[in-house]
Amino acid sequence: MIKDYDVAGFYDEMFAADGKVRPGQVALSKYLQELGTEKLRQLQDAAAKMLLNLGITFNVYADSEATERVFPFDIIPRIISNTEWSQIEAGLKQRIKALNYFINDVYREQKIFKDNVIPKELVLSSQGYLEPCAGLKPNRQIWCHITGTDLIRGGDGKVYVLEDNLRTPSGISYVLENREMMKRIFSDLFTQMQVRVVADYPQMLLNVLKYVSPMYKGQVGVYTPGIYNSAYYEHSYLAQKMGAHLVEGQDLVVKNHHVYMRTVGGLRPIHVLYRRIDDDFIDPTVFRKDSMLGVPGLFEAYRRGNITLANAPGSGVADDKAIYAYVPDIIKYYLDEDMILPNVPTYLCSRPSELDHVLKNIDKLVVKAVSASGGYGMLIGPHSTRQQQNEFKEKIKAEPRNYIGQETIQLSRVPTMCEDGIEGRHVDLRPFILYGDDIRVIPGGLTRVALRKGSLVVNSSQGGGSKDTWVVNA
Amino acid sequence: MTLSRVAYNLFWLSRYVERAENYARFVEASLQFELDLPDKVGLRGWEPMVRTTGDLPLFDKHYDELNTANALRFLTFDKRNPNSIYSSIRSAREIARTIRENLSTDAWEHLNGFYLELKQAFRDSPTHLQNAEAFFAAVKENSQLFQGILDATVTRDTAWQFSRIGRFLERADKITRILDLKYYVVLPSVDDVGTPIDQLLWATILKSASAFQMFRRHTTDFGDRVIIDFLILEPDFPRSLFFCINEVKEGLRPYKKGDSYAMAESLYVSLTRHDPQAILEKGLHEYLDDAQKKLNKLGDVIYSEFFSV
Repeated sequence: MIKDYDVAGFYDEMFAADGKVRPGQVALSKYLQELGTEKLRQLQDAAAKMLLNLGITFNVYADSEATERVFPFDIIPRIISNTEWSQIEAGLKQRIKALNYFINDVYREQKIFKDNVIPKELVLSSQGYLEPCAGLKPNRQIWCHITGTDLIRGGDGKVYVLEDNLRTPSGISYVLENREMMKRIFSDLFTQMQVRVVADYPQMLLNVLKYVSPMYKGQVGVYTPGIYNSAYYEHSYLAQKMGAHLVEGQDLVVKNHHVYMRTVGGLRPIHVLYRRIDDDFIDPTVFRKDSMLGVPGLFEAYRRGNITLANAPGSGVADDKAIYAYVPDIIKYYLDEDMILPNVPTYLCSRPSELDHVLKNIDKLVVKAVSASGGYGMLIGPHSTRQQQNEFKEKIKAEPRNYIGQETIQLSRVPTMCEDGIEGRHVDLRPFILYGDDIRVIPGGLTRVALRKGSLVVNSSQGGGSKDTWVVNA
Repeated sequence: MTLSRVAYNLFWLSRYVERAENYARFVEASLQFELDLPDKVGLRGWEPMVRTTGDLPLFDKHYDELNTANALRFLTFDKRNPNSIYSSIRSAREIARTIRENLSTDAWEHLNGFYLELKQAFRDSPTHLQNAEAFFAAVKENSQLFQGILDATVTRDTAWQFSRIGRFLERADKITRILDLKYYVVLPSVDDVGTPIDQLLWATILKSASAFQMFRRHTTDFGDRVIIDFLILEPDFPRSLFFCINEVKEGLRPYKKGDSYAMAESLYVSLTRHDPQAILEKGLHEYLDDAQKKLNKLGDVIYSEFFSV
């Protein structure tokens, strides 16, 4: 099986171009070789069944009966050496620290505009910028408590930051559940390799939430849009693991600018909400008036410091895809350091010269709408038709601020269990970063894999699956 | 501290699981009853069974003929009947999904597995109940296992108490409905009272309440008076109306000052004063009808006191 493995000109994380196993991957490749395809397939089926019985599902909006799906899972783990991980970890910590400074500055003193590092209009016109947050100072000046940064490895083997997700990043429950399952399936491999632990994430998250509570021993809750949200399972999972209440908008009420839960014993105060609901929906009196999921008065309670919302409303200003291009400058400005983890080379269509470059090279670049996510609203130049390219050109010309172009990075591939045996599939990586009394990064994170042959899109809504990520001492 | 929504959902989760179990017993016993009858002249087939559940109008809407196959399908597998066994377990599982963090992992995984099994069985045979005996056994066993797992793994906090209240309120309602079968199954003639057919019907009722064996241990007499005494007034039998009301009352005890507790207590006190002779004189059906109304009212009062804060 692994004998016939074809790296097909891509950067493969297990095999070098000459077919040699890369250092750090030897133990796993040997293990897979000995196990054989048949046995692996059996284990893969067992894992799928386990996921279904455990009820680890995500919701798909469509027909009524099939609203729940199991997130496809590939049982071959992805290995990252501890040495490389230290570098990634340092890069992520640096990035989050700088972005937090940036958000704090944008809503308060706006020094970065005065020093002409980034154009004020660009930031204030971002969809993530929330006017009502101007002048606010969240508890301990932390805005982005939980971040899920998307990383990719290019054809050169280097790791790049693809996207910052500072609003309500999801996927951590898959990381934790995948690990639990892998421990059951590959217990022998686990004893052989020293895999760094991820299971303490819920406790670390709880510590962060308590750290930013407006009062000692504050009551903590996870605020979910409800059962129809695609990540509902994760909300429930995290609440359960933290021993926090899982609340919906209908469970909360604001009185005298304090927030309460409706309980069978009457109204009880709550002080910290890990909210998994978008800014727009949290309070119909301030943001979207048609929000049925929000709590009237919640924002005012927040403004007065009676409740902590994590992440802080308005944090999304820093994960705007146009502002992304300025992150190297942001890091330099606030920390006086060079960026450790590089960005993917990016062209801002709001700059006339770069707009020109994007329009001319649209067949080679990836074009993204700055406000869209989930793999929607993007054009992958080399995989697109002339007609699609022309359509995008028109859209870009109409709204240049709304688009960026990026160099096409050939996502790295890792061995994956496929129909015809083990084949290479493209992956990305979403580590989770927590900001409390210190900044901590979960070792590894969610590896998303594009299961369809040749596909570069890893999103679960478009045929993606996941893998367990092992950071190992090698 | 328990959210009102969570308490409400646990209350209904338990009701649905209990409902499925009661339906399984009831339908199984009715099948046996039908098989035991020498001839069905004068009896109204499955109509009394469907009528007892309170869903006869819904049945008539979807079926032309009230025969065994249709009645079975309606009560067990029919998605269009929100109270069928399949629908009840589906609702229970859907509710469990929304409050999963309040259940133990064991309880959730069990219920989820049970639902997936039913769903598969339904997919394999959407219109016809295959292997009825094994089906009913599985429903009973899984429901009991679920309640057992809850009891063995969940802290006795408010959430658990509301699941207990739901379970026993549902059981109380079902015992009154099962007993009412006596009213709906009309014997061919007055002369049949006390005959083997009459006895067979009583035995069916006892079996539907899973009470036959315990009843036999309780008394050597047989007949309406002692059976009513056992199924309505026996303090120690866990499926009697008396026992169920007491459990509901005890579940509400932490909220002694509220309307719900007061109402449960007055129901309980009135039961201590009833005797089977008086019930028969008043008319069993009228008595049961009245009890069902009071149970519904109690459900409403609990809703407004705890769930619509």
